Amino acid sequence: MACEEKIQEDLVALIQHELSSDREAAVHKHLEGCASCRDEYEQFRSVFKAAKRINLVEPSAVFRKNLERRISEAIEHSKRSQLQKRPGSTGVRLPNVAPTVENTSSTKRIAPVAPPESAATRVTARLNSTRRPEPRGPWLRYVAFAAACVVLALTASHFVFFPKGGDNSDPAEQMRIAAEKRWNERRAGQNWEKILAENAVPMPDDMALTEAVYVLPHSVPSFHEKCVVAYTQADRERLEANAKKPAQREEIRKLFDGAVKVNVEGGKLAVTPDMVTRYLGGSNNRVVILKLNGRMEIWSASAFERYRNATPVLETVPAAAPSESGVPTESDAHGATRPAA
Amino acid sequence: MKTDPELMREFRDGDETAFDKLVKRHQVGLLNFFYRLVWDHSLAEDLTQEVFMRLYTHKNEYEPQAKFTTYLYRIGRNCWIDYLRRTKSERKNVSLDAETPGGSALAETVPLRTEDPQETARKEELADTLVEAIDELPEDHKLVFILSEVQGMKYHEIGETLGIPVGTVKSRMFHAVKRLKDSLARSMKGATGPWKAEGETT
Repeated sequence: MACEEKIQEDLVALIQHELSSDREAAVHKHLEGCASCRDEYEQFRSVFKAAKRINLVEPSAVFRKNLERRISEAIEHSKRSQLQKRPGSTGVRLPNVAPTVENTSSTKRIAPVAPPESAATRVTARLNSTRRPEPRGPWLRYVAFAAACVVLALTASHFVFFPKGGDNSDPAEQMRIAAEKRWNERRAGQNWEKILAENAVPMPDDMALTEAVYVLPHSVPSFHEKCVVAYTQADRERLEANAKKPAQREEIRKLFDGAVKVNVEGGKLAVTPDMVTRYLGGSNNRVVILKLNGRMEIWSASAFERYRNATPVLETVPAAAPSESGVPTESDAHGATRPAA
Repeated sequence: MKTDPELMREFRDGDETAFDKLVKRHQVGLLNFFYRLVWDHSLAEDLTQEVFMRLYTHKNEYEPQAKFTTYLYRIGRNCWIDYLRRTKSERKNVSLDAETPGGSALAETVPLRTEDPQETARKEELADTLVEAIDELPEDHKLVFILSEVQGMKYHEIGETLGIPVGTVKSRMFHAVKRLKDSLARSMKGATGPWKAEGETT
């Protein structure tokens, strides 16, 4: 490098119109007399020209729909976790938002805003910090001892009668376990088959006689699961019949009405470009079919390959618990939610 | 047309259509910001949705004093850092075979021009090389370059978004462009034009 780095930095800033007029004039003057910097300047300009040749991408057709669904799931999940939150529990992680405090180091994560503390919590905390211990009589010690014995006895009986640790009611933990199980099953790769340059995918035997299937998206970004699941008309009817509330039936009806309907011809699913591009973001001649827990999943080959080779991010809490209707949503794709075909 | 802070105020007051307008206005910018970080359309959409989701659920924390795009892209930066942490062990390399929503490969996103085929091929090769070179930039340099190139942010806006001084933005931009230039020069060695790698004489 012939000239000092300061000048070199200014060459880039000059291209981006980030210099003061005085400095700009000075750099132009330098360029007139320095062939090496002129050469460097041209090379820098060519980088920006090349960057302009990378096209802008547009959101897919389902972008808005998925966003709306994720927002409603997040709100629902937040409400549910508020209800389930017990004192002392860590709770479910809420998304971090932009900070209110600036941080000068780019490598450090900007501190998220702390969750708002309720007035009641603040008052209790203040009282606890200033309250002096009250004098205790001997009877209090007896009561405390008896309470400790009861707690010990209950804990011991829990391990005796529920040796597997009892039921885990934390929906986030349940989702984590379910995701890990699905990932292991899929990764085992027992039942999957890659279809190259074909647009007819063999259906599982129990679905081969159906005339058409509804294809619904399944996407759990936190766990890198993104595929579509095929449902028969019988599945739809069974789900609608099992819906307890009219609102649930309506939700199911809307989901299926919005689904892509794909014909089954000669026991094979006719893969349409719409089906794949709408939900998988892939090309229509490279898909993977997977039979898992009685459900049929279709993945874009590249997405599935990435998924199989990835390590599942299991510490991340998904956006929401399974939907009430029983129809898999973006955050719920467990096989158990789909009735056996 | 209403400004972003006006829409944000209306949204805070309960007008959901104001949020829709904000999404429409900023979705392409954010999507392309993330797309240049991950080169995966589907993942870029997920991250873009994550930003809007955080904006939605934390609407009351926006202070109108801050420029809206600065605020929005700061959320974007946080989402990106969260993503990097989550996927630290599974980071993938960019592939020019990565699919775009239209089903074409990433390499095919380079626009076609009616010019000399050899020249077109050379420029497409340049853009392909640039995609790989951008992906290899250190994360903090990459963010500065993408915010400037895709979002058209000025240095002071990038500084506010990333929480760094303008001088640091300028320095990171220079080092990013210099690395990109050297990568392009290495791949174009022997070709005619302005490309020269570090140390190569004129």
